[in-house]
Amino acid sequence: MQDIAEQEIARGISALVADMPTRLDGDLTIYRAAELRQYLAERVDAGDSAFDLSGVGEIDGAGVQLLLALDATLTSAGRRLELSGLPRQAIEALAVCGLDARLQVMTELRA
Amino acid sequence: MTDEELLEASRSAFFEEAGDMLRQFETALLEIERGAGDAETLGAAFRAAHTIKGSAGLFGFEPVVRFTHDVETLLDALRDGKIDADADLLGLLIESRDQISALIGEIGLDTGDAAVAARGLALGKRLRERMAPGASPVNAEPAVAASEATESADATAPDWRVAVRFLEPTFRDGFDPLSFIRYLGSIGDIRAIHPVCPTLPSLDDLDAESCHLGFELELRTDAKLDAIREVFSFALELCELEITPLDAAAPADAAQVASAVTTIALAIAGQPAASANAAAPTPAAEPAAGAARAPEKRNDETRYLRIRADKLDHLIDLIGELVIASSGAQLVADREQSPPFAEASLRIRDLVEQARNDALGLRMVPVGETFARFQRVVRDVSRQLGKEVELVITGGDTELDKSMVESVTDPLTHLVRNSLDHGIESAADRLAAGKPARGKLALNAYHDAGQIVIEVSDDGRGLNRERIVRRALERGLIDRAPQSDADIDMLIFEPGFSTAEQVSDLSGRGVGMDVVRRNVESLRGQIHIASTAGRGTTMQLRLPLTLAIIDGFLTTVGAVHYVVPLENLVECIETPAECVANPGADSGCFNLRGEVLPWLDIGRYFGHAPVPNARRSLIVVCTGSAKVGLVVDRLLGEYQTVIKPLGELFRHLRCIAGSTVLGSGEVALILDVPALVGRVSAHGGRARRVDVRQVS
Repeated sequence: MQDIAEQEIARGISALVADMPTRLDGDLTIYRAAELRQYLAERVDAGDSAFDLSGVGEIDGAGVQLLLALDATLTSAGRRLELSGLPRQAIEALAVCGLDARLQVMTELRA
Repeated sequence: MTDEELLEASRSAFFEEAGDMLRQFETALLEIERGAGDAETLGAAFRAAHTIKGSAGLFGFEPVVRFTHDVETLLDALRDGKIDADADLLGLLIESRDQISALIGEIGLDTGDAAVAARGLALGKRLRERMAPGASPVNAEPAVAASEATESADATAPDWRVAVRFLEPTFRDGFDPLSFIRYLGSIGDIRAIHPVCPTLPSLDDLDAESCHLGFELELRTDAKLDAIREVFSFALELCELEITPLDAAAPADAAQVASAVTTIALAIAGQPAASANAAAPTPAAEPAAGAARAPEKRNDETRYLRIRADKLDHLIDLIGELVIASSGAQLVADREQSPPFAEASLRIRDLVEQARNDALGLRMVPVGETFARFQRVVRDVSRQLGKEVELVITGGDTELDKSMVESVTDPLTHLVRNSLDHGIESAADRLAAGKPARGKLALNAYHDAGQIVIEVSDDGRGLNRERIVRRALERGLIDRAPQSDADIDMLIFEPGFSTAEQVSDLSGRGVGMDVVRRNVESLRGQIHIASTAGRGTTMQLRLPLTLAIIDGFLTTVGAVHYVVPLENLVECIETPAECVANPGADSGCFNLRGEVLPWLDIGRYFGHAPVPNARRSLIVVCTGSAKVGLVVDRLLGEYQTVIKPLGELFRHLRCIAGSTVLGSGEVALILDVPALVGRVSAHGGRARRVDVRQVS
């Protein structure tokens, strides 16, 4: 009886998790870039396109590059990247590159 | 190297560079203060401040950037002749240098020192007041460098298009492209920017540690083309940079540059810098010259290579082992008596010797850099004491081991302060004694008998021997007055000795001179004093050039091998009759072609059992001007050797400088000749003389 209950709960949790955005935690920096890339690639293969960045600490150029690569990979597969919960540092780092929270260019250059 | 180490390495490179720059900054300012500076000196000070600001900006050390910005602005105005350099201004700049140094020291600490922050505010205010006398107090509020620069980039400032692409190694070399963009934002207003990364692969193919980032942006700034390019100067090899003026409204000089698109892509493999320049159309002479400067600077950078000290030490260790191994091969070759083998091993020995000399040469630095630091010490201390003192530096290009330089700075500083405090009299006393009011302090260095000699001389009152003896008796350091002046002089190096009538805050606490001697002796060096009452004092440090390898002369006494440093060896002779006349004696005097010298029987001195029927020899060794004969059992010949320090247990041993491993695997002891000579001289031999150096 208990076994069935536990299985039900586990199935419920995984169903919930599948709908929730994948969380990225910790620093998005060169020090973790290789590890994060692998993780992101796996999540994309698993069908994820929504990512929750609320747990992100520091972010540097390598982190921005990862997000850009993630975006490009999803876009070329006809999917769309959804970022949520961007912390202040992430918004600031993207702004330095001229990007908003959806990785869109904020101000076009003059022709 | 792990990532943390990488970051640590680039940070420590920053600290080292900042230290260098601060020194250059100070040297330039002091030169100007002495009236010896010119436009080039001012330029050097400006560049030093600029470099500190730039690299601090890259690492995001905001307080350093903010403060240095004010200094740089003032120097720029000084350079352009908008304001004049007077004593007050130079004093202000020198204080600012200390503030920058203090701010750099606070990097990495969580909380800054409130006193440092307060001084920063006050100094910043004074700096800005000098820029614009009578400026409204609102302007005098500390402004953040970034916003200040943005304000100055008013609507009339020209717009530039900057296209920059960072090459793959950027991240791995410890740079973050975002820092450059942020820094660019501090010299102007970035009006639009977007990333350009055509080479960015998909997530699956990405090497996340390779950089594929590039940016195109519009920058509105008053800064010149060179200044924009300068933002990227720390990573010129890591990026392709293109800067173009954007609109026709740009001033004339910008329009000229417009035709000469500056493409810096020097580091792309196989593309010589010259062709990059040649490819760019250069109708105007001015931009062409500007373009030519960049590769020139690069060449300058590649001429020097920063190497981690421990890597170099490891190399020198290895070469030391190689020296031992090649000596071993030589021994085998001698035993085998095979001419081709002997010839081959001789060739190897020659090469190893060259490699050794070159490797040691890598660690050698001129002592002048260290000496130059004392300009500041002399300036500050003499002001504090109200004395006027001139520092004369000679022999600054004398080289010594880098590690030695670091260890010798502290003792030297103390000697210099001591001379300023106790040696040189006040102006009134000097005039009364018929000397010029302005005192002289001289630093001199030269090589002598495989040692480096550093002298600190002053033309002050000289040591007061009567008072030294009185004080030493009072303090119970001695029972009765020593006989020779030299012995009296050495008393000032005794622990707990101080003769200053009034204890000044500089050097009168009676700590120090004994520490100086201890430091010098721990470096296998000696210290000597020569002093003439009323004429001055010379403190002489004699130090080995390096701590690593020596050319030695191998001997045996009993069953033990002893190595005498070759630089101390004068000659080898048969044991003179005087040494065998009294079989029980371990020392005495002998006649060397009319010169009476002390001799010491090493075997008896170290307590070895006498070897029967040994054909003993006497080797004459010297340090400075003192010569001593040492009696040994056998001479084995020249031998290159690596000094290994003695173990902790044997640290206190006098007369043994270290040990070494022979090619045969046996251990040999290295004789500390200066200590031996000192010991023999103390027993009735001649003490070495040090002459008072004439300071003129």
